[in-house]
Amino acid sequence: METAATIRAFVAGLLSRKADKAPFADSESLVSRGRLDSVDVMEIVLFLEEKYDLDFADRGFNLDDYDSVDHILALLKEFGRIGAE
Amino acid sequence: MKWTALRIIPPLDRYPAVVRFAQTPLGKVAVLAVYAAGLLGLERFFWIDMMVILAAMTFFPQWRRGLLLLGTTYWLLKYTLFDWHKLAKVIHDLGLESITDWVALKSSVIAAVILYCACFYAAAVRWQDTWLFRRPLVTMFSVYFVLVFCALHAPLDPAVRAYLWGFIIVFGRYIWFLAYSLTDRRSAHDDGLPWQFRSYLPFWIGVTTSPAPIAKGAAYLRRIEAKTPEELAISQLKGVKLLYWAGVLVVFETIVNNVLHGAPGYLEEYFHIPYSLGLPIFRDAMNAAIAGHPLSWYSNWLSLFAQLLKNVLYIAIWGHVIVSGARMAGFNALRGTYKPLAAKTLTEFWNRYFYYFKELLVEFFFYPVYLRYFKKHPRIRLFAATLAAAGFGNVLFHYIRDIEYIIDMGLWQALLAFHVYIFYGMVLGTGIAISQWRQRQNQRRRHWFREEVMSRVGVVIFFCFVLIFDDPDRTLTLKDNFVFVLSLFGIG
Repeated sequence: METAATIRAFVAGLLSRKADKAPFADSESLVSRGRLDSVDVMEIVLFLEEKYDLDFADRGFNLDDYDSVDHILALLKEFGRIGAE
Repeated sequence: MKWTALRIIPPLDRYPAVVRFAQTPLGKVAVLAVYAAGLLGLERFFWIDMMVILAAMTFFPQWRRGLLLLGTTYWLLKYTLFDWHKLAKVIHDLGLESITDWVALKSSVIAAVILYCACFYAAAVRWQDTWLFRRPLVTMFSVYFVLVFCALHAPLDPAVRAYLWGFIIVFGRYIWFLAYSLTDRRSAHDDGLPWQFRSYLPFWIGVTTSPAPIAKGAAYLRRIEAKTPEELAISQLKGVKLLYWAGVLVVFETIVNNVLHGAPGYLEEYFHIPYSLGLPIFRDAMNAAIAGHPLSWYSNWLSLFAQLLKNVLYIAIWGHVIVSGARMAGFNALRGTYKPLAAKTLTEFWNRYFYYFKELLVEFFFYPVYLRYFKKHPRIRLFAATLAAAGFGNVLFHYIRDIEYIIDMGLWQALLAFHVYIFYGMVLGTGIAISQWRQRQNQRRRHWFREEVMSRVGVVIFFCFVLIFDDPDRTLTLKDNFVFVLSLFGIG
Protein backbone atom coordinates (compact mmCIF):
# COMPACT_ATOMS: atom_id res chain seq x y z
CA MET A 1 0.00 0.00 0.00
CA GLU A 2 2.90 2.27 0.79
CA THR A 3 4.30 1.74 -2.71
CA ALA A 4 0.96 2.65 -4.26
CA ALA A 5 0.82 5.84 -2.20
CA THR A 6 4.37 6.75 -3.25
CA ILE A 7 3.58 6.28 -6.94
CA ARG A 8 0.31 8.15 -6.62
CA ALA A 9 2.05 11.07 -4.92
CA PHE A 10 4.73 11.20 -7.61
CA VAL A 11 2.19 11.15 -10.43
CA ALA A 12 0.12 13.81 -8.65
CA GLY A 13 3.29 15.93 -8.48
CA LEU A 14 3.83 15.60 -12.21
CA LEU A 15 0.23 16.60 -12.89
CA SER A 16 0.34 19.55 -10.53
CA ARG A 17 3.44 20.88 -12.32
CA LYS A 18 1.18 21.19 -15.35
CA ALA A 19 -1.48 22.92 -13.24
CA ASP A 20 -3.62 19.77 -13.51
CA LYS A 21 -5.27 19.50 -10.11
CA ALA A 22 -8.11 17.21 -11.19
CA PRO A 23 -8.35 13.96 -9.24
CA PHE A 24 -7.37 10.69 -10.90
CA ALA A 25 -8.13 7.06 -10.24
CA ASP A 26 -5.37 4.47 -10.07
CA SER A 27 -6.83 2.83 -13.15
CA GLU A 28 -7.09 6.05 -15.18
CA SER A 29 -5.08 6.09 -18.42
CA LEU A 30 -3.15 9.29 -17.88
CA VAL A 31 -0.87 9.11 -20.91
CA SER A 32 -3.53 7.91 -23.36
CA ARG A 33 -5.83 10.70 -22.23
CA GLY A 34 -3.10 13.30 -22.67
CA ARG A 35 -2.75 14.29 -19.00
CA LEU A 36 0.84 13.06 -18.99
CA ASP A 37 3.22 13.27 -21.95
CA SER A 38 6.44 11.58 -22.94
CA VAL A 39 8.58 13.98 -20.87
CA ASP A 40 6.53 13.02 -17.82
CA VAL A 41 7.01 9.34 -18.62
CA MET A 42 10.76 9.99 -18.71
CA GLU A 43 10.44 11.44 -15.19
CA ILE A 44 8.54 8.34 -14.08
CA VAL A 45 11.24 6.08 -15.54
CA LEU A 46 13.95 8.08 -13.75
CA PHE A 47 11.99 7.97 -10.50
CA LEU A 48 11.50 4.20 -10.70
CA GLU A 49 15.15 3.64 -11.59
CA GLU A 50 16.37 5.71 -8.67
CA LYS A 51 13.81 4.85 -6.02
CA TYR A 52 13.48 1.12 -6.73
CA ASP A 53 16.86 0.48 -8.36
CA LEU A 54 15.29 -0.83 -11.55
CA ASP A 55 16.95 -1.45 -14.89
CA PHE A 56 14.60 -1.48 -17.87
CA ALA A 57 17.32 -2.05 -20.46
CA ASP A 58 16.46 -5.67 -21.20
CA ARG A 59 12.74 -5.30 -20.85
CA GLY A 60 12.34 -2.76 -23.62
CA PHE A 61 9.90 0.11 -23.69
CA ASN A 62 6.14 -0.20 -23.73
CA LEU A 63 4.17 2.97 -23.05
CA ASP A 64 1.39 0.80 -21.65
CA ASP A 65 3.58 0.12 -18.58
CA TYR A 66 3.40 3.78 -17.50
CA ASP A 67 -0.14 4.64 -18.56
CA SER A 68 -1.71 4.53 -15.09
CA VAL A 69 -0.80 4.07 -11.44
CA ASP A 70 -2.11 0.50 -11.69
CA HIS A 71 0.14 -0.21 -14.67
CA ILE A 72 3.19 1.19 -12.88
CA LEU A 73 2.38 -0.94 -9.84
CA ALA A 74 2.08 -3.99 -12.09
CA LEU A 75 5.49 -3.17 -13.48
CA LEU A 76 6.96 -2.93 -9.98
CA LYS A 77 5.32 -6.23 -9.10
CA GLU A 78 6.90 -7.82 -12.17
CA PHE A 79 10.29 -6.64 -10.90
CA GLY A 80 9.48 -7.88 -7.38
CA ARG A 81 9.60 -4.40 -5.88
CA ILE A 82 6.18 -4.10 -4.29
CA GLY A 83 6.67 -3.22 -0.65
CA ALA A 84 10.40 -2.82 -1.14
CA GLU A 85 10.80 0.61 0.48
CA MET B 1 -19.72 34.36 -18.67
CA LYS B 2 -16.04 34.83 -19.41
CA TRP B 3 -15.09 35.65 -22.99
CA THR B 4 -12.89 32.53 -23.00
CA ALA B 5 -16.04 30.45 -22.57
CA LEU B 6 -17.23 31.54 -26.02
CA ARG B 7 -16.41 28.88 -28.55
CA ILE B 8 -16.91 28.59 -32.26
CA ILE B 9 -17.73 24.90 -31.81
CA PRO B 10 -19.77 24.33 -28.63
CA PRO B 11 -18.40 21.69 -26.21
CA LEU B 12 -21.22 19.24 -26.97
CA ASP B 13 -19.50 16.38 -25.16
CA ARG B 14 -19.80 18.31 -21.87
CA TYR B 15 -23.56 18.90 -22.06
CA PRO B 16 -25.19 16.01 -20.14
CA ALA B 17 -28.45 16.32 -22.08
CA VAL B 18 -26.64 16.09 -25.42
CA VAL B 19 -24.57 13.12 -24.24
CA ARG B 20 -27.76 11.36 -23.09
CA PHE B 21 -29.48 12.12 -26.42
CA ALA B 22 -26.48 10.82 -28.39
CA GLN B 23 -26.97 7.42 -26.73
CA THR B 24 -30.54 7.03 -28.05
CA PRO B 25 -31.23 5.55 -31.51
CA LEU B 26 -32.45 8.93 -32.75
CA GLY B 27 -29.43 10.67 -31.24
CA LYS B 28 -27.06 8.21 -32.91
CA VAL B 29 -28.69 8.88 -36.28
CA ALA B 30 -28.42 12.62 -35.65
CA VAL B 31 -24.71 12.41 -34.71
CA LEU B 32 -23.98 10.28 -37.79
CA ALA B 33 -25.92 12.67 -40.03
CA VAL B 34 -24.09 15.72 -38.70
CA TYR B 35 -20.76 13.96 -39.18
CA ALA B 36 -21.71 12.89 -42.72
CA ALA B 37 -22.61 16.49 -43.55
CA GLY B 38 -19.20 17.56 -42.28
CA LEU B 39 -17.40 15.00 -44.45
CA LEU B 40 -19.45 16.11 -47.43
CA GLY B 41 -18.65 19.74 -46.70
CA LEU B 42 -14.96 18.92 -46.65
CA GLU B 43 -15.37 17.15 -50.00
CA ARG B 44 -14.34 13.70 -48.74
CA PHE B 45 -15.51 11.68 -51.75
CA PHE B 46 -15.48 8.41 -49.77
CA TRP B 47 -18.00 9.71 -47.26
CA ILE B 48 -20.74 7.18 -48.04
CA ASP B 49 -18.48 4.17 -47.50
CA MET B 50 -17.10 5.65 -44.31
CA MET B 51 -20.56 6.42 -42.97
CA VAL B 52 -21.73 2.84 -43.61
CA ILE B 53 -18.82 1.51 -41.53
CA LEU B 54 -19.34 4.13 -38.81
CA ALA B 55 -23.08 3.46 -38.68
CA ALA B 56 -22.43 -0.25 -38.15
CA MET B 57 -19.89 0.52 -35.39
CA THR B 58 -22.31 2.98 -33.76
CA PHE B 59 -25.29 0.63 -33.62
CA PHE B 60 -23.33 -2.56 -32.89
CA PRO B 61 -20.53 -1.43 -30.56
CA GLN B 62 -20.28 -4.94 -29.13
CA TRP B 63 -18.86 -6.01 -32.51
CA ARG B 64 -16.54 -3.03 -32.83
CA ARG B 65 -13.33 -5.04 -33.18
CA GLY B 66 -14.75 -7.26 -35.90
CA LEU B 67 -16.28 -4.31 -37.72
CA LEU B 68 -12.99 -2.44 -37.57
CA LEU B 69 -11.25 -5.45 -39.07
CA LEU B 70 -13.89 -5.62 -41.81
CA GLY B 71 -13.74 -1.87 -42.40
CA THR B 72 -9.94 -1.87 -42.62
CA THR B 73 -10.01 -4.81 -45.06
CA TYR B 74 -12.68 -3.13 -47.18
CA TRP B 75 -10.70 0.11 -47.21
CA LEU B 76 -7.57 -1.76 -48.23
CA LEU B 77 -9.39 -3.24 -51.20
CA LYS B 78 -11.05 -0.02 -52.28
CA TYR B 79 -9.30 3.13 -51.10
CA THR B 80 -5.98 2.68 -49.30
CA LEU B 81 -3.32 4.44 -51.30
CA PHE B 82 0.10 3.01 -51.94
CA ASP B 83 2.85 4.72 -53.86
CA TRP B 84 2.22 2.72 -57.04
CA HIS B 85 3.71 5.50 -59.16
CA LYS B 86 7.10 4.64 -57.66
CA LEU B 87 6.68 1.00 -58.75
CA ALA B 88 5.44 2.14 -62.17
CA LYS B 89 8.71 3.99 -62.65
CA VAL B 90 10.71 0.89 -61.66
CA ILE B 91 8.71 -1.20 -64.13
CA HIS B 92 9.23 1.42 -66.82
CA ASP B 93 13.00 1.54 -66.16
CA LEU B 94 13.18 -2.26 -66.30
CA GLY B 95 11.22 -2.29 -69.59
CA LEU B 96 8.45 -4.49 -68.18
CA GLU B 97 5.41 -2.34 -68.97
CA SER B 98 4.10 -4.60 -71.72
CA ILE B 99 4.04 -7.74 -69.60
CA THR B 100 2.80 -6.29 -66.34
CA ASP B 101 -0.66 -7.28 -65.12
CA TRP B 102 -1.17 -4.44 -62.65
CA VAL B 103 -4.16 -5.86 -60.81
CA ALA B 104 -2.43 -9.19 -60.18
CA LEU B 105 0.82 -7.45 -59.26
CA LYS B 106 -0.75 -5.02 -56.79
CA SER B 107 -2.92 -7.60 -55.07
CA SER B 108 -0.15 -10.19 -54.80
CA VAL B 109 2.32 -7.61 -53.44
CA ILE B 110 -0.15 -6.41 -50.80
CA ALA B 111 -0.99 -10.01 -49.85
CA ALA B 112 2.72 -10.85 -49.58
CA VAL B 113 3.37 -7.83 -47.33
CA ILE B 114 0.47 -8.67 -45.02
CA LEU B 115 1.60 -12.29 -44.85
CA TYR B 116 5.14 -11.13 -44.10
CA CYS B 117 3.92 -8.84 -41.29
CA ALA B 118 1.85 -11.70 -39.86
CA CYS B 119 4.77 -14.14 -39.94
CA PHE B 120 7.21 -11.61 -38.51
CA TYR B 121 4.84 -10.73 -35.68
CA ALA B 122 4.07 -14.40 -34.95
CA ALA B 123 7.79 -15.21 -34.89
CA ALA B 124 8.50 -12.22 -32.61
CA VAL B 125 5.84 -13.46 -30.17
CA ARG B 126 6.93 -17.08 -30.27
CA TRP B 127 10.67 -16.55 -30.07
CA GLN B 128 10.69 -13.28 -28.15
CA ASP B 129 13.60 -14.26 -25.91
CA THR B 130 15.91 -15.39 -28.69
CA TRP B 131 18.71 -13.05 -29.85
CA LEU B 132 16.89 -12.47 -33.13
CA PHE B 133 13.71 -11.14 -31.56
CA ARG B 134 14.92 -9.75 -28.26
CA ARG B 135 15.10 -6.42 -30.09
CA PRO B 136 12.60 -7.04 -32.90
CA LEU B 137 12.70 -3.53 -34.32
CA VAL B 138 16.42 -3.86 -35.01
CA THR B 139 15.73 -7.15 -36.78
CA MET B 140 12.82 -5.66 -38.70
CA PHE B 141 14.86 -2.70 -40.00
CA SER B 142 17.86 -4.94 -40.74
CA VAL B 143 15.73 -7.26 -42.87
CA TYR B 144 14.22 -4.22 -44.60
CA PHE B 145 17.60 -2.85 -45.61
CA VAL B 146 18.86 -6.29 -46.66
CA LEU B 147 15.85 -6.47 -48.99
CA VAL B 148 16.61 -2.99 -50.32
CA PHE B 149 20.23 -3.98 -50.89
CA CYS B 150 19.12 -7.12 -52.77
CA ALA B 151 16.69 -5.11 -54.91
CA LEU B 152 19.53 -2.74 -55.79
CA HIS B 153 22.47 -5.08 -56.25
CA ALA B 154 21.51 -8.77 -56.33
CA PRO B 155 21.64 -10.45 -59.76
CA LEU B 156 17.87 -10.85 -60.04
CA ASP B 157 15.54 -11.47 -62.94
CA PRO B 158 13.94 -8.09 -63.86
CA ALA B 159 10.46 -9.36 -62.97
CA VAL B 160 11.68 -10.54 -59.54
CA ARG B 161 13.47 -7.22 -59.00
CA ALA B 162 10.29 -5.31 -59.85
CA TYR B 163 8.28 -7.51 -57.50
CA LEU B 164 10.81 -7.00 -54.73
CA TRP B 165 10.66 -3.22 -55.16
CA GLY B 166 6.86 -3.47 -55.05
CA PHE B 167 7.13 -5.38 -51.78
CA ILE B 168 9.51 -2.80 -50.31
CA ILE B 169 7.33 0.13 -51.38
CA VAL B 170 4.15 -1.38 -49.89
CA PHE B 171 5.93 -2.57 -46.75
CA GLY B 172 7.08 1.04 -46.29
CA ARG B 173 3.42 1.91 -45.58
CA TYR B 174 3.11 -0.90 -43.02
CA ILE B 175 6.49 -0.82 -41.33
CA TRP B 176 5.54 1.50 -38.45
CA PHE B 177 2.30 -0.35 -37.83
CA LEU B 178 4.27 -3.59 -37.54
CA ALA B 179 6.63 -1.77 -35.18
CA TYR B 180 3.69 -0.92 -32.90
CA SER B 181 2.59 -4.57 -32.98
CA LEU B 182 6.08 -5.67 -32.01
CA THR B 183 6.13 -3.39 -28.97
CA ASP B 184 2.74 -4.84 -28.07
CA ARG B 185 3.93 -8.43 -28.19
CA ARG B 186 4.65 -8.73 -24.46
CA SER B 187 1.47 -7.00 -23.40
CA ALA B 188 -0.76 -8.88 -20.97
CA HIS B 189 -3.76 -8.03 -23.14
CA ASP B 190 -2.03 -8.91 -26.35
CA ASP B 191 -4.40 -8.81 -29.30
CA GLY B 192 -4.02 -11.77 -31.61
CA LEU B 193 -2.79 -11.44 -35.13
CA PRO B 194 -6.08 -10.41 -36.84
CA TRP B 195 -6.66 -7.81 -34.15
CA GLN B 196 -3.27 -6.32 -34.78
CA PHE B 197 -4.09 -6.09 -38.47
CA ARG B 198 -7.27 -4.09 -37.81
CA SER B 199 -5.05 -1.22 -36.68
CA TYR B 200 -2.90 -1.32 -39.85
CA LEU B 201 -3.98 1.54 -42.14
CA PRO B 202 -7.47 1.66 -40.57
CA PHE B 203 -10.31 3.05 -42.63
CA TRP B 204 -10.33 6.42 -40.88
CA ILE B 205 -7.06 7.40 -42.56
CA GLY B 206 -9.10 8.04 -45.69
CA VAL B 207 -6.79 8.48 -48.66
CA THR B 208 -3.73 9.83 -46.89
CA THR B 209 -0.36 8.54 -48.06
CA SER B 210 1.56 9.27 -44.87
CA PRO B 211 3.03 6.13 -43.27
CA ALA B 212 2.75 7.67 -39.77
CA PRO B 213 0.16 5.69 -37.80
CA ILE B 214 -2.51 8.11 -36.59
CA ALA B 215 -4.01 6.57 -33.44
CA LYS B 216 -0.93 4.33 -33.27
CA GLY B 217 -1.49 0.58 -32.95
CA ALA B 218 -3.71 -2.03 -31.32
CA ALA B 219 -2.38 -1.36 -27.80
CA TYR B 220 -3.31 2.33 -27.93
CA LEU B 221 -6.70 1.51 -29.46
CA ARG B 222 -7.41 -0.86 -26.54
CA ARG B 223 -6.62 1.90 -24.06
CA ILE B 224 -8.78 4.58 -25.68
CA GLU B 225 -11.70 2.39 -26.77
CA ALA B 226 -15.14 3.42 -25.49
CA LYS B 227 -16.25 0.85 -22.91
CA THR B 228 -19.76 2.15 -22.23
CA PRO B 229 -22.57 3.77 -24.29
CA GLU B 230 -21.79 7.06 -22.55
CA GLU B 231 -18.11 6.87 -23.49
CA LEU B 232 -19.07 6.10 -27.08
CA ALA B 233 -21.42 9.09 -27.18
CA ILE B 234 -18.73 11.38 -25.77
CA SER B 235 -16.13 10.05 -28.20
CA GLN B 236 -18.47 10.60 -31.14
CA LEU B 237 -19.46 14.09 -30.06
CA LYS B 238 -15.76 14.93 -29.79
CA GLY B 239 -15.32 13.47 -33.27
CA VAL B 240 -18.05 15.71 -34.66
CA LYS B 241 -16.54 18.74 -32.93
CA LEU B 242 -13.10 18.00 -34.31
CA LEU B 243 -14.35 17.54 -37.85
CA TYR B 244 -16.17 20.87 -37.74
CA TRP B 245 -13.15 22.52 -36.17
CA ALA B 246 -11.16 21.24 -39.17
CA GLY B 247 -13.78 22.93 -41.35
CA VAL B 248 -13.29 26.21 -39.48
CA LEU B 249 -9.55 25.89 -39.98
CA VAL B 250 -10.06 25.28 -43.72
CA VAL B 251 -11.90 28.59 -43.94
CA PHE B 252 -9.18 30.30 -41.89
CA GLU B 253 -6.48 28.75 -44.10
CA THR B 254 -8.26 30.08 -47.18
CA ILE B 255 -8.42 33.58 -45.72
CA VAL B 256 -4.76 33.40 -44.65
CA ASN B 257 -3.69 32.31 -48.13
CA ASN B 258 -5.78 35.04 -49.69
CA VAL B 259 -4.58 37.80 -47.42
CA LEU B 260 -0.92 36.77 -47.44
CA HIS B 261 -0.43 35.64 -51.00
CA GLY B 262 -3.61 36.49 -52.94
CA ALA B 263 -4.20 32.80 -53.62
CA PRO B 264 -7.11 31.33 -51.62
CA GLY B 265 -6.47 27.78 -52.81
CA TYR B 266 -8.95 25.16 -51.53
CA LEU B 267 -12.08 27.33 -51.32
CA GLU B 268 -11.17 29.62 -54.21
CA GLU B 269 -14.60 29.37 -55.81
CA TYR B 270 -16.34 30.55 -52.61
CA PHE B 271 -13.88 33.12 -51.31
CA HIS B 272 -12.34 36.13 -52.82
CA ILE B 273 -11.13 38.81 -50.50
CA PRO B 274 -10.18 41.81 -52.62
CA TYR B 275 -7.07 42.49 -50.59
CA SER B 276 -3.71 40.81 -50.36
CA LEU B 277 -0.34 41.64 -48.85
CA GLY B 278 1.19 40.03 -51.93
CA LEU B 279 3.80 38.21 -49.86
CA PRO B 280 6.05 35.82 -51.75
CA ILE B 281 5.51 32.14 -51.13
CA PHE B 282 8.40 30.73 -49.07
CA ARG B 283 9.62 28.47 -51.87
CA ASP B 284 9.71 31.40 -54.32
CA ALA B 285 11.63 33.50 -51.80
CA MET B 286 14.11 30.68 -51.33
CA ASN B 287 14.53 30.10 -55.06
CA ALA B 288 15.14 33.82 -55.58
CA ALA B 289 17.88 33.80 -52.93
CA ILE B 290 19.48 30.68 -54.42
CA ALA B 291 19.37 32.26 -57.89
CA GLY B 292 21.33 35.23 -56.52
CA HIS B 293 18.40 37.67 -56.58
CA PRO B 294 17.19 37.64 -52.98
CA LEU B 295 14.05 39.47 -51.99
CA SER B 296 14.20 42.06 -49.22
CA TRP B 297 15.13 40.62 -45.81
CA TYR B 298 11.72 41.46 -44.35
CA SER B 299 9.90 39.76 -47.26
CA ASN B 300 11.97 36.65 -46.58
CA TRP B 301 11.11 36.73 -42.88
CA LEU B 302 7.43 37.28 -43.59
CA SER B 303 7.33 34.45 -46.13
CA LEU B 304 9.02 32.18 -43.58
CA PHE B 305 6.57 33.06 -40.79
CA ALA B 306 3.69 32.61 -43.23
CA GLN B 307 4.98 29.18 -44.20
CA LEU B 308 5.17 28.04 -40.58
CA LEU B 309 1.61 29.22 -40.00
CA LYS B 310 0.40 27.46 -43.16
CA ASN B 311 2.23 24.25 -42.21
CA VAL B 312 0.56 24.28 -38.80
CA LEU B 313 -2.86 24.81 -40.39
CA TYR B 314 -2.27 22.12 -42.98
CA ILE B 315 -1.17 19.45 -40.55
CA ALA B 316 -3.93 20.35 -38.10
CA ILE B 317 -6.67 20.07 -40.72
CA TRP B 318 -5.27 16.83 -42.11
CA GLY B 319 -4.89 15.23 -38.68
CA HIS B 320 -8.20 16.48 -37.27
CA VAL B 321 -10.20 14.84 -40.06
CA ILE B 322 -8.44 11.51 -39.49
CA VAL B 323 -8.71 11.62 -35.69
CA SER B 324 -12.38 12.60 -35.95
CA GLY B 325 -12.99 9.34 -37.85
CA ALA B 326 -11.27 7.31 -35.12
CA ARG B 327 -13.40 9.05 -32.48
CA MET B 328 -16.58 8.34 -34.43
CA ALA B 329 -15.56 4.67 -34.49
CA GLY B 330 -15.43 4.72 -30.68
CA PHE B 331 -11.70 5.31 -30.19
CA ASN B 332 -11.25 8.54 -28.30
CA ALA B 333 -7.83 9.38 -29.76
CA LEU B 334 -5.93 12.53 -28.85
CA ARG B 335 -5.68 15.28 -31.44
CA GLY B 336 -2.74 15.11 -33.80
CA THR B 337 -2.13 18.86 -33.47
CA TYR B 338 -2.99 21.02 -30.48
CA LYS B 339 -2.14 24.74 -30.44
CA PRO B 340 1.56 24.42 -31.31
CA LEU B 341 1.95 28.17 -31.72
CA ALA B 342 1.02 28.60 -28.05
CA ALA B 343 3.97 26.44 -26.97
CA LYS B 344 6.46 28.00 -24.56
CA THR B 345 9.23 25.46 -25.11
CA LEU B 346 10.65 23.62 -28.11
CA THR B 347 9.64 20.30 -26.54
CA GLU B 348 6.09 21.51 -26.12
CA PHE B 349 5.89 22.68 -29.74
CA TRP B 350 7.23 19.34 -30.96
CA ASN B 351 4.71 17.55 -28.76
CA ARG B 352 1.83 19.62 -30.06
CA TYR B 353 2.71 19.95 -33.75
CA PHE B 354 2.28 16.35 -34.89
CA TYR B 355 1.66 14.26 -31.80
CA TYR B 356 1.55 10.84 -33.49
CA PHE B 357 4.83 11.35 -35.34
CA LYS B 358 6.46 12.52 -32.13
CA GLU B 359 5.05 9.50 -30.30
CA LEU B 360 6.46 7.18 -32.96
CA LEU B 361 9.91 8.70 -32.54
CA VAL B 362 9.68 8.66 -28.75
CA GLU B 363 8.53 5.04 -28.49
CA PHE B 364 10.83 3.52 -31.10
CA PHE B 365 13.96 5.64 -30.74
CA PHE B 366 14.00 7.84 -27.64
CA TYR B 367 13.17 5.26 -24.98
CA PRO B 368 15.18 2.34 -26.37
CA VAL B 369 18.28 4.56 -26.13
CA TYR B 370 17.24 6.25 -22.89
CA LEU B 371 16.67 2.95 -21.09
CA ARG B 372 19.96 1.40 -22.23
CA TYR B 373 22.77 3.91 -22.55
CA PHE B 374 24.65 6.56 -20.50
CA LYS B 375 22.68 5.95 -17.33
CA LYS B 376 25.38 7.41 -15.15
CA HIS B 377 25.52 10.60 -17.23
CA PRO B 378 22.07 12.19 -17.11
CA ARG B 379 22.86 15.02 -19.51
CA ILE B 380 24.49 12.81 -22.13
CA ARG B 381 21.72 10.28 -21.66
CA LEU B 382 19.04 12.84 -22.45
CA PHE B 383 20.96 14.26 -25.42
CA ALA B 384 21.70 10.84 -26.91
CA ALA B 385 18.10 9.69 -26.60
CA THR B 386 16.69 12.93 -28.03
CA LEU B 387 19.12 12.88 -30.94
CA ALA B 388 18.24 9.23 -31.55
CA ALA B 389 14.58 10.25 -31.86
CA ALA B 390 14.42 13.72 -33.42
CA GLY B 391 17.61 13.16 -35.39
CA PHE B 392 18.17 9.52 -36.35
CA GLY B 393 14.58 8.27 -36.14
CA ASN B 394 13.25 11.33 -37.93
CA VAL B 395 15.72 10.90 -40.79
CA LEU B 396 15.10 7.15 -40.99
CA PHE B 397 11.34 7.69 -41.21
CA HIS B 398 11.72 10.05 -44.17
CA TYR B 399 14.49 7.97 -45.77
CA ILE B 400 12.13 4.99 -45.88
CA ARG B 401 9.15 7.12 -46.88
CA ASP B 402 11.03 8.69 -49.80
CA ILE B 403 12.14 5.31 -51.16
CA GLU B 404 12.20 6.70 -54.72
CA TYR B 405 15.55 8.34 -53.97
CA ILE B 406 17.02 4.98 -52.93
CA ILE B 407 15.57 3.32 -56.04
CA ASP B 408 17.07 5.98 -58.29
CA MET B 409 20.37 6.67 -56.53
CA GLY B 410 21.19 3.69 -54.35
CA LEU B 411 21.52 3.66 -50.56
CA TRP B 412 24.64 5.79 -50.22
CA GLN B 413 23.85 8.47 -52.80
CA ALA B 414 20.31 8.75 -51.43
CA LEU B 415 21.77 9.25 -47.97
CA LEU B 416 23.99 12.00 -49.35
CA ALA B 417 20.93 13.59 -50.94
CA PHE B 418 19.43 13.59 -47.45
CA HIS B 419 22.29 15.62 -45.99
CA VAL B 420 20.13 18.73 -45.56
CA TYR B 421 17.47 16.72 -43.76
CA ILE B 422 20.14 15.09 -41.60
CA PHE B 423 21.33 18.59 -40.65
CA TYR B 424 17.70 19.50 -39.91
CA GLY B 425 17.35 16.44 -37.67
CA MET B 426 20.54 17.23 -35.79
CA VAL B 427 19.57 20.87 -35.15
CA LEU B 428 16.04 19.88 -34.17
CA GLY B 429 17.28 17.12 -31.86
CA THR B 430 19.84 19.38 -30.20
CA GLY B 431 17.25 22.13 -29.70
CA ILE B 432 14.72 19.77 -28.17
CA ALA B 433 17.36 18.13 -25.96
CA ILE B 434 18.41 21.53 -24.58
CA SER B 435 14.77 22.45 -24.11
CA GLN B 436 14.08 19.23 -22.19
CA TRP B 437 17.13 19.70 -20.02
CA ARG B 438 16.19 23.27 -19.18
CA GLN B 439 12.62 22.17 -18.47
CA ARG B 440 13.92 19.62 -15.95
CA GLN B 441 16.32 22.05 -14.30
CA ASN B 442 14.25 25.17 -14.24
CA GLN B 443 10.86 24.76 -12.60
CA ARG B 444 10.65 28.21 -11.03
CA ARG B 445 8.36 30.97 -12.27
CA ARG B 446 9.85 33.62 -14.51
CA HIS B 447 8.80 37.17 -15.19
CA TRP B 448 5.46 37.36 -17.01
CA PHE B 449 6.90 38.92 -20.16
CA ARG B 450 9.66 36.31 -20.39
CA GLU B 451 7.29 33.47 -19.58
CA GLU B 452 4.34 34.40 -21.77
CA VAL B 453 5.84 36.39 -24.64
CA MET B 454 9.57 35.87 -25.11
CA SER B 455 9.42 32.09 -24.71
CA ARG B 456 6.74 31.81 -27.42
CA VAL B 457 8.60 34.17 -29.77
CA GLY B 458 11.78 32.13 -29.27
CA VAL B 459 9.97 28.88 -30.09
CA VAL B 460 8.47 30.33 -33.28
CA ILE B 461 11.83 31.73 -34.43
CA PHE B 462 13.57 28.38 -33.80
CA PHE B 463 10.97 26.43 -35.78
CA CYS B 464 11.07 29.02 -38.58
CA PHE B 465 14.83 28.50 -38.74
CA VAL B 466 14.66 24.70 -38.91
CA LEU B 467 11.79 24.93 -41.40
CA ILE B 468 14.29 26.26 -43.94
CA PHE B 469 16.04 22.88 -43.87
CA ASP B 470 12.85 20.79 -43.80
CA ASP B 471 12.30 20.76 -47.53
CA PRO B 472 11.11 17.63 -49.34
CA ASP B 473 13.22 18.61 -52.35
CA ARG B 474 16.39 16.56 -51.84
CA THR B 475 18.22 18.32 -54.69
CA LEU B 476 18.87 21.38 -52.53
CA THR B 477 22.22 21.57 -50.78
CA LEU B 478 23.14 22.93 -47.37
CA LYS B 479 24.79 25.83 -49.18
CA ASP B 480 21.47 26.68 -50.89
CA ASN B 481 19.74 26.69 -47.52
CA PHE B 482 22.37 28.87 -45.90
CA VAL B 483 22.18 31.32 -48.81
CA PHE B 484 18.56 31.82 -47.81
CA VAL B 485 19.49 32.08 -44.11
CA LEU B 486 21.92 34.89 -44.96
CA SER B 487 19.27 36.63 -47.06
CA LEU B 488 17.13 36.86 -43.91
CA PHE B 489 19.75 39.29 -42.62
CA GLY B 490 20.11 41.18 -45.89
CA ILE B 491 23.35 39.41 -46.78
CA GLY B 492 23.83 38.09 -50.30
